[in-house]
Amino acid sequence: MTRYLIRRFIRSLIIFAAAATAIFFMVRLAPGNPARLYLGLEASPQAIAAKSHELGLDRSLLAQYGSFLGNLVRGDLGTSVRGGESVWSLVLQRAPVTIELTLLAVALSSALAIVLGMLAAAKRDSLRDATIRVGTVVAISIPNFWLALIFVLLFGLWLPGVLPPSGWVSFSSDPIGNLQHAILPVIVLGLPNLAIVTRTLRVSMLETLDHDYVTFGRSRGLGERRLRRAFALPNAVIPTTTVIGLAVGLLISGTVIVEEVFSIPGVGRLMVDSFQEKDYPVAIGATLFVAFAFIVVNFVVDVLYAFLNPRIRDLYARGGLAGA
Amino acid sequence: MPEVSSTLPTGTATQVRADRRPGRVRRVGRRAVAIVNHNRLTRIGFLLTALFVLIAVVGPMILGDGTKQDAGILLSPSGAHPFGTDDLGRDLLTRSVAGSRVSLFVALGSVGLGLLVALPIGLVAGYFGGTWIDELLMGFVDVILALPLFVLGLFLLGITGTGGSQVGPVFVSATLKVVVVIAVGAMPFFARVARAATLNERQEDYVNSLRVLGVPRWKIIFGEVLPNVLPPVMVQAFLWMAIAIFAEAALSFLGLGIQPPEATLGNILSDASSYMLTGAWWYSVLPGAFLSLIIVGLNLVGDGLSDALDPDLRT
Repeated sequence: MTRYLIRRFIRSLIIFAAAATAIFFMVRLAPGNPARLYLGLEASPQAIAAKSHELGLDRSLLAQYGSFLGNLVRGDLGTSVRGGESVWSLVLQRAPVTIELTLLAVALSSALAIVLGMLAAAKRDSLRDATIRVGTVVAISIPNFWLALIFVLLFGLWLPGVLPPSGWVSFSSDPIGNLQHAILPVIVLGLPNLAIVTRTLRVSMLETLDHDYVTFGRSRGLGERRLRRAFALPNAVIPTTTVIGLAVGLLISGTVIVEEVFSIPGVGRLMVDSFQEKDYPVAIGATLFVAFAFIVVNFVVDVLYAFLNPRIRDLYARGGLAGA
Repeated sequence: MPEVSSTLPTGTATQVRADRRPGRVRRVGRRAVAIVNHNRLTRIGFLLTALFVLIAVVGPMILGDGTKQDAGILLSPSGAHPFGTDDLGRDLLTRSVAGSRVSLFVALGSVGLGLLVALPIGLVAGYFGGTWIDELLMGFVDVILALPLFVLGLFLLGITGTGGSQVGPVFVSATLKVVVVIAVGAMPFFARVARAATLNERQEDYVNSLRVLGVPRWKIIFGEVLPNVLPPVMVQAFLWMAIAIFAEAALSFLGLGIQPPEATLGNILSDASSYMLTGAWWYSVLPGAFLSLIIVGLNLVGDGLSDALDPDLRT
């Protein structure tokens, strides 16, 4: 297990380095002098020359790349062009909001998905099963930004006062208000995850119910309900962990959009706003942070999968499965 | 179909062909009809998708490109303007139809580009499965798959600005940038499916027969294996057309994709978001419902295809 952990950890580090490298070279694709990007459009030629030197733009590309990675390792993300604050503090200030929304969305939608997946698998090809299946296709297909706009319309215009249609209050200042503001964004964020996990669990439940050990339990006279819940579910849940990993990608795109539509001050909105304000140090910092979060979550999901799945766990314990 | 027999010495090759070919077209045709009729949902999906393609291709020829500002501002839906008009007095039905053409272009472009890169990778990796060629190609694919592509795509579009970009000697338009970003995201999925299917095909007798007959490897891979690998790849392709249409709309909604005045379903909704609380509900509701129906249709088709090809899974 330790070997597996170390392997996965190194792999995650390499992927983060690849993402950071991609970001470094994409900045070179930006139109104009990077010094101008840092200083804003109104900067004087002298200031740009000075900044170019300060940023090391007069050095070789390789040397610049080296110092970019060096700063990254030291945790130095630079300062905002607009406000002059450190990018780190801006990102960290926004992070709890995004993390709260994402965790609530994953937890609630996964829990509900397990119930729905079980219900669908319990009566295969029944009306209930068909309804749940159609529901998941529709839930995956509805664009999240459109659903968010409909919610704004519904609760901002047609049903004023029922739920706050936009804005945010922190949990520490007003816990109940915080949760009220979280309801709509969490629904929009969680819906695709709900659909994907429901479908995966349904299929894996149907497959598990075909296994001999379940048939054996049935032949011993155990009730269907008990067979599903105590026998099949623990095994059927395992494949869904990998799907939750995939859904993280969707969730990240979701937070950017949800924060934008509902005016929530999270990292996703920081990222999009900083592009619009041409505040590139902040854009780079926020992007690196989101990329980092994505890679960390995938690492955790991988480890969780290996931990939950005894077959993989034992293989690693015996030192097998080389090269994975 | 490339003429395999032309490079082969005798009638044996025709024998191999004859075993596999008779009635191929008719068989594929019958299969296609069976898939369309797979169940009621798949039929609805095909209907929606056919309508979408028809509207996207023919619609703008009749209605125009939706940039004309020739009506009243924010008119609610009526006979003259079934979707109402926007804040600049443009007909929203016309704009939505013009936007659906962009959606179709982005879907075909990004999925096509993704397939163009992924199929050779997946086919070659699968054909040489287990060798260093396979390891190298799939290692590359896996790294791309593990990258946070949405974030990187967002960053690329954000940092290079909303217009076109000059990359070395090549000018890349804003639309093309979006297409490339989505194609990069789709590529690893296509490559993996193509590889898995090729690994199966490799075991088949016809591949061995052709190999024994001395048919060049590239001809076996691209002439004979490729057509048999296509069905599972097409399932992925349909699902990714839905994802591509969503992704373009989302990027344009965030102001990072295709820019106004060119209408796309994403930037119409982006414009609409400023008028949410003025009572102009049609501005966001109708173009968004149109977009949702397009995506539902493609997802139902993808679902039906994967169902018909793999009845055991029924996801």
